[in-house]
Amino acid sequence: MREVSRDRIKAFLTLLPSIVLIGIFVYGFIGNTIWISLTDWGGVAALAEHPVKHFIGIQNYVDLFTGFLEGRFRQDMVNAVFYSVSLLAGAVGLGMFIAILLDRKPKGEDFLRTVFLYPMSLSFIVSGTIWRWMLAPQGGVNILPTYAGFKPLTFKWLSAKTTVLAFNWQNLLQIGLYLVAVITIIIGFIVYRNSRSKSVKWLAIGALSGLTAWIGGDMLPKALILEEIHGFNLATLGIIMATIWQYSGYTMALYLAGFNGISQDLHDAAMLDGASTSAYYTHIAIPMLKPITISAVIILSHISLKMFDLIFSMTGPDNAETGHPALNMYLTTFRANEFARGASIAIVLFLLAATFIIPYLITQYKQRRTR
Amino acid sequence: MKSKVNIKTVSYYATLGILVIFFLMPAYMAVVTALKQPGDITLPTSWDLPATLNWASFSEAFAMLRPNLVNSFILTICATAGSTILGSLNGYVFSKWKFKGSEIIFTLFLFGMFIPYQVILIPLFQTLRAMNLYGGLPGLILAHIVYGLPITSLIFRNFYAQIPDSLIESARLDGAGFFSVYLKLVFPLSIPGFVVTSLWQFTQIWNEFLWAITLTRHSENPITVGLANLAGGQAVSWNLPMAGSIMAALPVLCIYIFLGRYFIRGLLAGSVKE
Amino acid sequence: MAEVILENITKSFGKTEVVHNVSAHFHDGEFIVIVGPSGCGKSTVLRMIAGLEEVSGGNIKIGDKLVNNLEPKDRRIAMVFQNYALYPHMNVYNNMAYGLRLQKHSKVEIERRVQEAAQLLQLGEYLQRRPRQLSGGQRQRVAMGRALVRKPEVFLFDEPLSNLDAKLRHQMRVELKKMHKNLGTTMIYVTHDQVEAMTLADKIVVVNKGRIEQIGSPDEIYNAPASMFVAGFIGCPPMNFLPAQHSNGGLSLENGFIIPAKDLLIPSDTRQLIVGIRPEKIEFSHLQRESGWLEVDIDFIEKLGSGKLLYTTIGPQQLILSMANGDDRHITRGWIRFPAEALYFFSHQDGSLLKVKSS
Repeated sequence: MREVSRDRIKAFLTLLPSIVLIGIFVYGFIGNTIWISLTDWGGVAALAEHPVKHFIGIQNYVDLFTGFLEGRFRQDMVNAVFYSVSLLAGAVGLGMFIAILLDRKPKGEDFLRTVFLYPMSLSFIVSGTIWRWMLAPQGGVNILPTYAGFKPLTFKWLSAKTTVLAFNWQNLLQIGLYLVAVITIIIGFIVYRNSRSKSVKWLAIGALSGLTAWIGGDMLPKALILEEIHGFNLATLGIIMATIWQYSGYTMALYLAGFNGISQDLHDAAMLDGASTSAYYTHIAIPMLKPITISAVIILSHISLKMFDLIFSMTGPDNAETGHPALNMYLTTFRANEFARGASIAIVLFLLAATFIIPYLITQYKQRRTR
Repeated sequence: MKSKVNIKTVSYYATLGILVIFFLMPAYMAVVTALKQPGDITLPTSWDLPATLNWASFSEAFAMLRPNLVNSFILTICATAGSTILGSLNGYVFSKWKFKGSEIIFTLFLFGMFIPYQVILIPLFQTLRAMNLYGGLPGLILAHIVYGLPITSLIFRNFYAQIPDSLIESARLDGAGFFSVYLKLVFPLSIPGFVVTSLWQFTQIWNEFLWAITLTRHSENPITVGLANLAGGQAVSWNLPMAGSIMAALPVLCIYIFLGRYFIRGLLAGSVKE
Repeated sequence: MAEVILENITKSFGKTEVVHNVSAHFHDGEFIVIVGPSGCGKSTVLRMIAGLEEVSGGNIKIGDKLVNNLEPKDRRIAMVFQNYALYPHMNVYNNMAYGLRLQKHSKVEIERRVQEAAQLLQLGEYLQRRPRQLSGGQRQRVAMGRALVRKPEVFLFDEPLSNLDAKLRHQMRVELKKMHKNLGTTMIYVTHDQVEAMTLADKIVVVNKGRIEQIGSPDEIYNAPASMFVAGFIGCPPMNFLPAQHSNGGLSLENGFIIPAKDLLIPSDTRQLIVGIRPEKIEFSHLQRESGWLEVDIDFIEKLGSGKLLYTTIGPQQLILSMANGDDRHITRGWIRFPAEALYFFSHQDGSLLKVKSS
């Protein structure tokens, strides 16, 4: 055998243990969790050495989305959606803003960068503990205005009962269609400048789904028998704020690295073209860094979907107002010993994550191939 | 150069100043609260500086958290070493010994980095129970090594991509094989890569909570669980959780402050952007 | 259309002054090439004209207007960068149109100007492509197009051809010259390549260490270099320099050979000087000659296709001779002569050209 091919075998053998480990611990386990979610494993004897399991199909999922007892899960899902959207908007927006400020090379840039990034290095348990104290109703953040001569705030950051943007879960399908309509119409307007025909397509989809929801709203199947109101729990605002505090430094670092990678000539060319500073960022720098924005969105969505530690330490595991499916999964599985139900929650989270991770990884893969 | 002090510059630095205050607020709060006498801690005065310094909070919190800190150090050091070394070998193969399908395998590896870990938690729990590893540190170390492989392989792969192929080829013309190229050439060149990766893994593992709370029994709890227990108990006065938080944050904070450059490189590598 | 006037321009970064007291007057419609070795400050001068760097002292006027405090966009200039500086996320059309949109031109006008430029530069079929889908030469054209659509009064070029391969560079040089002829706009072009300077310029500005060494037409610069630096920088292969002593019989070189004084116009007041002669001006013979000719060994020969270069040494100095093809015998030695009318004399101290007494 030639030396080279022997080396190739060595290379493969080196990789093999990792392949096996990832194969089992990632893919095997995901498959196993899917299987568990299709059983009735749970209850008193769940931790027995050979627990009894029966195959019950997708009953766990049906219960989660329509069952009478799982209203809390549905609120958790709604929380997770609002939480993800707010975190994305907040952390990407604030991080981008700070990066633009630092791109002007202020005095003490290194110090500032350190200050904005240090929360990123902390454990969620640490930041959760501190923020819980800061958000206590009669102290911390709420009494800050008194130092400027104003009245203290009285908002209950982590236990407010107020819900805004409430909707009836029964009308889930209709609301979904409205959302699709709004999003596609926005996309339609965005692509209008580049391609009219694509834009028309998007607008048509938007108009169609909007119309279906509007006209056929009452005829659409109901997701539940009873009316069930869910919405944006204001109690999650505190958690959102703490997460933005912790993660906008991360997006800042990403954008700052991106800005530094843009050549001086390109900046100069924009100046010659007559771009003001804000035009430079909105037309040139930020659009150029689209890959960074995508990365940041992916990673932050991933973080917000599995968010567990921060909520656990800020509000304790049992605070219904600030619930999250990731926390619910832990409680269902390891407190209530409802393993199958917990597995189904985990699979819902997984599928949500997969919808944006898989396309992302496929594009990355294709990019690597073409290079 | 004439110095221009105008409204624009002033408002620019003022904005930065407000942001700095927002970002440092929690740190300030943790420090002043930890240094107060338990009796002095009241909500309306939470921003005030301590009247008398109370260093005892730290020794008291340390006494309570010491077993957790020891556990965390053992866990973090072992798991960091394991995942970094394996990641380095994987990265070497992925970047310098590509074979048919290696890119797909690499992509499949990366996927493991982006799953919500809840989805593997139940089988992991069961498997460790079946292997008699449940409840102790070895099981947790194993989990951290395995699920650390995607990110460490990624960082090293990108790091090794910067080593020119011609360097490897000339070593092979000199007669070096797969392992001697790694030991004589790639490994010495990748010390910065090891620093980046191990610092990143260290902070991640040190800060991890979900597995820590589900996979270890009380005596083996790492620091995050210890702190959560300390802070979750209602009776405790707030100086202890704050002192505990500072202690739990200190190792990673030191890494960040003194080796921040490497930490940021790990952070950028984690975003897959090549 | 505009002239460009530099009055005592200086530029300092911190405490170090990199451009010293530069003054020049560029006429309307001229093709100016600023040439010099890398790091000589030529790009800084260009960037100051563009307004990308502030001047530390002196004035810049573009078409009678003092522009020191004008923003780059208000100076009626356009610039082409070495690495093209195209916006990677915009297609070719938008790259060219972006500046016009910011200037609030009408859609029709933008369309008209972009199409016009695209036609001139043969970019018509690439308008929808992104820069990374184009070849180096095409990117170069887009960068030109972006400058063209602005209809500036002055074009500025910062080493625009140095990222192209040799063949393309030559082609673009010709096109650029044509473009200048058609547009008649003032162009200021920075390069380190003396061939580009010679072929493109109406007027060459040779810069060294932040100072102007000489301004003149290509012929003036070549035939009457003001200093050893200019003489050595312009021309390929460069001018030969030989240290010499003034003696009664003529000029004695370091190896003792004496260039006869009888038909020399030597500046008589200096004892030591440096003699310069262009490689193509040295006469060569492989037959033995008498007085006035120097016998040399030919170390090696470089063939260029159209001609050849002979390398020899005089004392410690290398001497290059440029010759037409023809005699292809293997030459190892020969006789050379320095025609008096082809000699330049430079100061031993500062390299400046020594004035010759008129005979």
